[in-house]
Amino acid sequence: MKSKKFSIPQPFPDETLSSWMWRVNSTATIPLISHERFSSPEGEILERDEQGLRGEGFADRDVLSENRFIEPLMRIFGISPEWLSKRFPAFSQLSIPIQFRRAFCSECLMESFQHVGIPVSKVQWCYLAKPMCELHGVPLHDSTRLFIEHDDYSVQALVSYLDDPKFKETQDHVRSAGRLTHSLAFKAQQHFQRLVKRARKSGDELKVQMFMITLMRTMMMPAYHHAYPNVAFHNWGGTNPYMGLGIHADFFLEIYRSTCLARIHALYFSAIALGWISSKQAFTTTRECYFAPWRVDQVWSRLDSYPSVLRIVALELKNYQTQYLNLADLDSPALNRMSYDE
Amino acid sequence: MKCDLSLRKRREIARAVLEGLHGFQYYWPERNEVYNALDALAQAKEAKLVMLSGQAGAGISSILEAFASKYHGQVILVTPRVYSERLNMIGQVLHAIFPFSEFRNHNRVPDSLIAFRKGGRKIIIFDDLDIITNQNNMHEVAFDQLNQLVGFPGYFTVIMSTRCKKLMRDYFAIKRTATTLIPVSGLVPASCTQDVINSFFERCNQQYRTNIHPSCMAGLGAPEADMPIDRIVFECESVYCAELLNLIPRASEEERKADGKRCLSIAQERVSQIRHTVECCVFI
Repeated sequence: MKSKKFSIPQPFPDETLSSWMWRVNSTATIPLISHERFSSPEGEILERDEQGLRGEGFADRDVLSENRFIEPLMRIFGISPEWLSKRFPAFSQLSIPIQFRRAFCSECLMESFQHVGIPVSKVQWCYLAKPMCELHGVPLHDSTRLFIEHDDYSVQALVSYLDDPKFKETQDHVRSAGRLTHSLAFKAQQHFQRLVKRARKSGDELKVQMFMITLMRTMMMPAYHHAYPNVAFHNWGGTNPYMGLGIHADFFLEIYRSTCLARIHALYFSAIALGWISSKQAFTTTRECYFAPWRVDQVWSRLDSYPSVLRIVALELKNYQTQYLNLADLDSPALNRMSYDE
Repeated sequence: MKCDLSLRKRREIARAVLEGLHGFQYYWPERNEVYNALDALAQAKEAKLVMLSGQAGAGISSILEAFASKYHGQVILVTPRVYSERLNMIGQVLHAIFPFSEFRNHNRVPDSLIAFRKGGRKIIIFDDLDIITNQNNMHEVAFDQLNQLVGFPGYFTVIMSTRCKKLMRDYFAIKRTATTLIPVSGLVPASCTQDVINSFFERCNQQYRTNIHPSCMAGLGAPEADMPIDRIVFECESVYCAELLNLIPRASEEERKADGKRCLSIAQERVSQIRHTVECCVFI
């Protein structure tokens, strides 16, 4: 690696490939990535949504094999592919598709700006089951700028967070209004991450993740929407509200477009269903959301009128059972019965 | 001179020197006063507008660069730059922080700048204000926007330089904001010129690992008066590079004896010739 010779900034731990490349770009005498691209967004959000929902893929700038600037970068700065692969390994967890990626932690961005003069994006913000900042223990924000539209996403996210009218105030209010719920959701997130780590050793990592994502998908179904704060539905998938595309599309796809706040609540309700959060703990949060379920039976009773959803959940969860997470943990007679029936 | 340097390497060094990348700064009493005044600004708590004024070649840009480099974490340096769209002064400050990004224009100081101010970036430098305002046709409203930056809630200290008489007049007409004028003299006293030359050669020898003696400047002219710093540095650069590339013809023993005593400065015509020869060798 010839980075010393060219004084290439070293990547920070957990920094995304695109964030590091933008930092390299900013220190280069002649920028490698032109800002011309910013002025030509790749289609409107609605169009992207439809493409995304049809299953079309988008090149992910945070993935080595898909970033089209990697080749010139390696050539110009004399960087070896081995070094890059070592510093920017593939995502280790299920991630948000690039067209919907826009989560960030304002505190992390500000700290990195003060430290290195440019905000730095983190890999953990790309993960579906990590809607809260690991470092600060606070909910991530959903930027009004989409990652796919900006090569300098972290810069745009920070500046728009500070400059967009009322955006910062709203986000700060959301954080303070749901403090109890968020702290319990953060505990659940940490618990889940420990579980994933343990499952990695036995090769069950993906199944454990899928089990949790399936639970989160369930908790995002319309039957639970009354328990979500209204703001969780703002800018769902960008500028669009929750679409209501039918049972299967709602179940499988909406989690990708959802806001961080929606994923936090989905994680929180999943943790109640799994018994990670006791009913006593959950009850304390009713002052933040009166309609939120706080007991396991309350969580599952919401699906009593939706047998088709329950059937999908049972089928899915059955596939992803492991010693770490299984149907028995959920304490739902209806779900257990259905999984045996199928 | 170090013998093991290849011609290619010597040309690279000469190119860097001619492009002014040597970073040489000379401090004499008048110049130290300017730096002390700027240091006091960096320590001060109150925001104000500060103008550096001096003749062309007085070294104002070098002073501002050195200041920005010294207080890296506190300073936002705005330099003339070509933009695809017309940007106002406030917009240019945001662009100076993230030079490769694009943002919308702001009519008031945006919250992002105020947040960065809280992060320690409290001084904004506009080098060559006349060029910056010219590029964006901002002459009329430049000081309005600069006043906004100095006032609530930004409280930035704004340091600028210009030789444009109209901007200077506008600056002197400012009433509602605290202002300071720092005159910059570029004249080095005759007693210091030899020290400038020695320091320049020492700096370049150290930076590029060469061994060129300042005595090569002797015998090329006769300085008896105070000289502008930019002229001395220009001569030093030219002669250093010429000596590095072996482009100065060796004086004969008789010529050397005829010179009698050592001289410091070079005739302007002779300097131009040397510079031209060096530039032809390096850049063509």
